[in-house]
Amino acid sequence: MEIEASTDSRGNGQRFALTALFYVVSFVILDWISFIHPFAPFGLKPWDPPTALTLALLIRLGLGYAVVVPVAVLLADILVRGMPVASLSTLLSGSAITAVHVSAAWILREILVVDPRLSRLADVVRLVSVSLAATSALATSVVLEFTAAGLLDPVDFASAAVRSWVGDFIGILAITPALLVFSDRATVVGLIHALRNRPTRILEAVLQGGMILLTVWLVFELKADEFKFFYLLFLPNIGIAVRHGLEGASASLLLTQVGLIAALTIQGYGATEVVEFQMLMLALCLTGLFLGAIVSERSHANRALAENQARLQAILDTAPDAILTVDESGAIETANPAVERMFGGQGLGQGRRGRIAQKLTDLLPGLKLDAEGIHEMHGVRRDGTTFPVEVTVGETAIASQRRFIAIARDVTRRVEAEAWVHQHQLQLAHADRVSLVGEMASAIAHEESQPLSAIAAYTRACLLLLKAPVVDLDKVNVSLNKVARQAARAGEILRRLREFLQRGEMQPEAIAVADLVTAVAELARADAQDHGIRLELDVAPDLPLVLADRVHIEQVLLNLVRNAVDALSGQPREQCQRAILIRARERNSRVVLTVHDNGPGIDPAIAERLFHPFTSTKTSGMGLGLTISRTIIEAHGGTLVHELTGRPGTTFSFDLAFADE
Amino acid sequence: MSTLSAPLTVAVIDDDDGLRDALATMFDALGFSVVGFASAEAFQPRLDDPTFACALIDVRLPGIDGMALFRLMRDSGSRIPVIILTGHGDIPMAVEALKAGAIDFIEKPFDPDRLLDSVREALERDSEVRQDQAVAERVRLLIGRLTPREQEVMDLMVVGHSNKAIASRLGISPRTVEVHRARVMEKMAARSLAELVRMCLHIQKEPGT
Repeated sequence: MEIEASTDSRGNGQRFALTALFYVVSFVILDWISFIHPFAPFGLKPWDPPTALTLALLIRLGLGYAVVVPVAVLLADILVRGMPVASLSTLLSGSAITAVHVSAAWILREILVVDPRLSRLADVVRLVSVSLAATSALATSVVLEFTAAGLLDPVDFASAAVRSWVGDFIGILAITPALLVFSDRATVVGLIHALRNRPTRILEAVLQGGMILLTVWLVFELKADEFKFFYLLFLPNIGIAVRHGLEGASASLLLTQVGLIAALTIQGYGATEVVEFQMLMLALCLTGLFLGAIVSERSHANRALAENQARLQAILDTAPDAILTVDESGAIETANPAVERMFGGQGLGQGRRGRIAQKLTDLLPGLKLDAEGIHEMHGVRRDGTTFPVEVTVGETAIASQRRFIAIARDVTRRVEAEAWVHQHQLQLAHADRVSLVGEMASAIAHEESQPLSAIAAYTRACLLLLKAPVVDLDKVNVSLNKVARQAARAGEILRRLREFLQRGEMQPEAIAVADLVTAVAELARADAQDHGIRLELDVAPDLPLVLADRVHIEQVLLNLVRNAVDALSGQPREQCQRAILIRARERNSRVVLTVHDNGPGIDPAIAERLFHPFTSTKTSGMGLGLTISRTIIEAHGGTLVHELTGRPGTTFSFDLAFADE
Repeated sequence: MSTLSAPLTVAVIDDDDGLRDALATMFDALGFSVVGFASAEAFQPRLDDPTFACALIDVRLPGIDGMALFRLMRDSGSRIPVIILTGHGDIPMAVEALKAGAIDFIEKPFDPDRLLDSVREALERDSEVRQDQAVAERVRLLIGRLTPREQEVMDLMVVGHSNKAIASRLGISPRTVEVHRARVMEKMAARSLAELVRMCLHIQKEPGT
């Protein structure tokens, strides 16, 4: 597959040629080597490595090499068997062999989609099954040809066929798996790596190989009834299969086969005995291959599992939150390193395996396992100190037993920040008031300039009047009184401002809502007028007094009014009279104040975040107005809401308790 | 104070009652009569009323604001001199107002002297305008007493033509021209040709003659 994927066609061609050459040469050499105990001059051998080579080639490198197969067969027939060059049978046998091999390889590659590395047991099973069918077909067709060509006596048909079949099948079983497995680059690299990592492995491999050869020698040295002692060869092969999986099995089987053939040749056995030994070898191969495949599969699965495990463990180790698994009785089963860091102390053991504490409730007292969801509570450290945590508990079943997972987050920082904000609430509220006044500064300055201008005019009038030939003291008197009034008015504006900007604790007192509303209207009127916005007041008569801190409630109202002014000032003037309505009513034993404007309303996307800090559509201001306002109202025991009335415009309302409660 | 004959009337347009009253008191002490308006809408029906010698307009008014009112006055051809008062310091607005012909643009709280100077300037300008108008009226009245032929003659007289030239132009005898000349001078009550020319120039200054 690697070769087929190459895009360099010239390189492709070169590689193809080289590989083909290598194949042909190997084919011929192997054929020559195994040319022992032939049955008649036709070379039906009990051991046929070239077949194994051909199948391995086609499976591993693709059906493109099919064209080379007949060439190799022909060459081998000529060089090794000395067959006549242009005889029909030669050609026929060549094409038959090619056809069978190509079909087998095609079935394995395309239909059954076998992994050339034989990574699964299923792959090995398929290889064996298809090889069985292929070799049977091959044996039959070859022997048929020879019989038909008159080269074979029909009497010998069966034994010839069996011999041919055994040779091919054993060849495949003993050789092809090894070829397929060790032609995979990744496998070879991994193997070299493993050997380099642990040089003792090389020693082990040598010993194992030696053991096989020793066993082979032993089998044949013992002379008497070697067939029985053949079973000794199962021992090292099974051992290697179990220890090294399919890779080991294929190598050891190859070695065993080579050793066996060598021993048989040296001992000078006849063809029939060789066939019998090969049958035994068959059993050994099947056993070794299947066992090796199973072991390999299992070790792959284990490796994948271990990788997954390692990954999960890494997550648990890195997690900043404490993660614990707990059994039904509340005893801690596992705890990640964060548990140790969070619940602190010495001698807690390894985060993973040691027990931090016996029971979950030692760390999180009062935690009920059944209660799902997030709980805010306190965790207890080893040294007895406590700290605020957010705990989530989940239930699960492991191996059909109830288990609970507890995840605890240290929220000390957050709690501290909230406390800080709360403590500094007053400062923040003050800052907000300053900010509000700042936004209205221009309008307020304008307000102040009115009484001052009037004073200037009146006093000039008085001076002029006093210069007249006949002084009209009454007029002077009237004007001076008016001066005093205007001065008081100027002072009033400043007084209101100063009061509004004062710092200090909240001082609730009984207040008339009408006064509150009037005061705010005074502060806001100039600003509203500047924008051509009408400010309407609608305070129900006879409202009970409310318990409230005046400055802070004025601040809330002013915030709402200023927001309304901002919203409306964006609108063009001419459309309709822009107005803000401040209303106060009694409802459900509380006083409800509402600020409504007939502006464009609030975009639903922003509406959700209205009361969050630093949400603002304004370019000026701190963006805290509504946040602070809500805090103030909640401190008064009420709620500040943005009402969705369905009518055009925007409405905010809040409620206050009666003073006599 | 410049010489003024009849009590002049000042219009004060400001929504602040206190300030309106204060300005009224101050102008009253100076001998003006004052009419106050709390909004631009209240003043609108009288925005080209010739009784007003001057208008003090606050920029910030409910409804139509001061600058819009000023523009309305310009557009309708009102000749009342305008002084703009403001509580904000707005340079672009000031420039616009002055370019559009306001007498002054004053910030509050104002120095009464500054305000009074501006008012005086407004009044002078106003009185100049009125005088011009009065003279032009008189001249038109006098011209109305001339016959068509006498008018023709006068037109040519003020341009500087000699009797001879006039005679040939009109196709009458020089003697007749002399007679017409005498009549013109008498009817127009002009003591010299120069005076007659000045009188005609007065009318030419006025648009629409």
